[in-house]
Amino acid sequence: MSKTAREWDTPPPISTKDYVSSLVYTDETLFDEELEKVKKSTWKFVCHVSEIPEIYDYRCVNHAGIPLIVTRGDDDVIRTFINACSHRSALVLREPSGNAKQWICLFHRWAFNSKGHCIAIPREGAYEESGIRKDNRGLREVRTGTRLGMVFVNLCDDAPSLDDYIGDALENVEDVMGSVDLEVFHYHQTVLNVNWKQWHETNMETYHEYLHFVNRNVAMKSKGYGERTWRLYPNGHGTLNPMQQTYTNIKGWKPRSNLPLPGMQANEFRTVKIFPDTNILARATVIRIDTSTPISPNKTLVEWRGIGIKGESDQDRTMRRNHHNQVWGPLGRNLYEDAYAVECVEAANRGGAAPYGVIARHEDMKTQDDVLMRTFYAEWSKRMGRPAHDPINGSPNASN
Amino acid sequence: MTVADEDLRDLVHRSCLFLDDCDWDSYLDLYSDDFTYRIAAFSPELRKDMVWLEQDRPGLTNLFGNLENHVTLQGRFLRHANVALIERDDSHNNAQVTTTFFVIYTNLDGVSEMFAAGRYNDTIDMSGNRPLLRTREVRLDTRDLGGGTHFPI
Repeated sequence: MSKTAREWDTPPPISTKDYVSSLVYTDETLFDEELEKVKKSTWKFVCHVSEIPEIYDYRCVNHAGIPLIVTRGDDDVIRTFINACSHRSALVLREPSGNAKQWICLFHRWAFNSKGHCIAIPREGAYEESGIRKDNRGLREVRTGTRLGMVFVNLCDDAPSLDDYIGDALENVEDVMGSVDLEVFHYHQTVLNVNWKQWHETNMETYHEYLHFVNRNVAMKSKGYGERTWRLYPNGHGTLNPMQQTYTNIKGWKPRSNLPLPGMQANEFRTVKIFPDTNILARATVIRIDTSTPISPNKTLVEWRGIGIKGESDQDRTMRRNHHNQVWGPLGRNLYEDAYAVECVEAANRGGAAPYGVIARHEDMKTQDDVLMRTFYAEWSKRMGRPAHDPINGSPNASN
Repeated sequence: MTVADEDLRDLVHRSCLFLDDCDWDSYLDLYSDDFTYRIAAFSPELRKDMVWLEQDRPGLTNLFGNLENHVTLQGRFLRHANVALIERDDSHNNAQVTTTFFVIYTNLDGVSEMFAAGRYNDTIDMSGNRPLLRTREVRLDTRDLGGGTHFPI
């Protein structure tokens, strides 16, 4: 039956845990609060250690609107600094990556080293009256930690440690990512016309796999597809039990049985979600990590990385690269479909066309259960102090 | 058979028109049996080259054959190509052809925007009764393709 306007705008007659208000995707006030309460207080994946392999290597990234420099110091320690000169705030480094022993701000030539120390101020004597000195104008260091080669940062100095935050949530990929040195061989990014949470929802439920020709055939027709269970961890993380997929269900496609990554079986698929915005997927021979940076309520920078084994032969790398590109690259078979679907959601949400999203599948935490979606929004609600089903008018103490 | 420079330009331009029109069979007919097709770009983030697509005849044929099964970008692509440099090696019956290109995407609302720019680096086989593409490397300057695409560039 179709709905009247009143019926459409009335919350669904289901548990408040089973739906979210579309305002979580569109409201400017909530977006600004998210940056402070969700993004800046959680650990954010920014790069892989292989992107800064040498001393003085750096990567410039952005987190929650803050430009950052991630660098390997001459003591082989990876550190992160806010990429803003302590003089008058110009970007200190402006290229996506590089190698530099000294960082010289282009504007007034203040200089810094890879430990964030200010090492030179032109005509420093002019600051004597004010008390400005090199030793009190270092860069702002940002907490940095590494797990399985993934570099995480946290803008909040008081947040729990990375180990406490992640806990056991990476156990499903400990063998895959922690046995041998890995290397990023693919990177691309784009700004999607979506709210950042809408992108991550494509990695938090599996029943959108009907959308994908590849997944309908390779995954959904494979033994055990529906029998996997979700495992949940503190702080909103989750993982789905592995399965072996059948790539040969698509005519002309080959199995992924040659050179599986350490710990993986032929054709095996694993997935891990780290709250709030990082997804790790492994398709037997290759890993993908994607992460997002919100720009506005309806614009999100998404970054994708493809990962193989460091130092492997050209032949092996070609195989892994082709496996990555087949599904995940910008010309891969799945990526556009996910991007298009969530942009369709945003196109309707933007003008308030649909007030609620239903996350009500309950299947004993099996494959197509919405349990990770509900877990995500429960964590979101806790950090925001607002229930996701009614974030503007709901009680601050109500959870989702 | 003598292959003129104009024939080589014609080959490149036809490759663009056939892709624009989604005429996959005609597009594949421009290639030799043993061709390789690759899309590559340099990543300033990684400071290394990347390959985003690499296919031979069976692979590209399979890719085209499955397109109808996918949810693909609607609208039209228009490729504009300028054959900038032809370097012939008549003793070996091949030519290296460098073409600059850009691709304009027009959506269903009729709004056009730049989709990609780069170069085609082609090796053309001139040994047969017509010139054929033996290798094509699509060297992209553009690394942001939006949500992506299922179609070769």
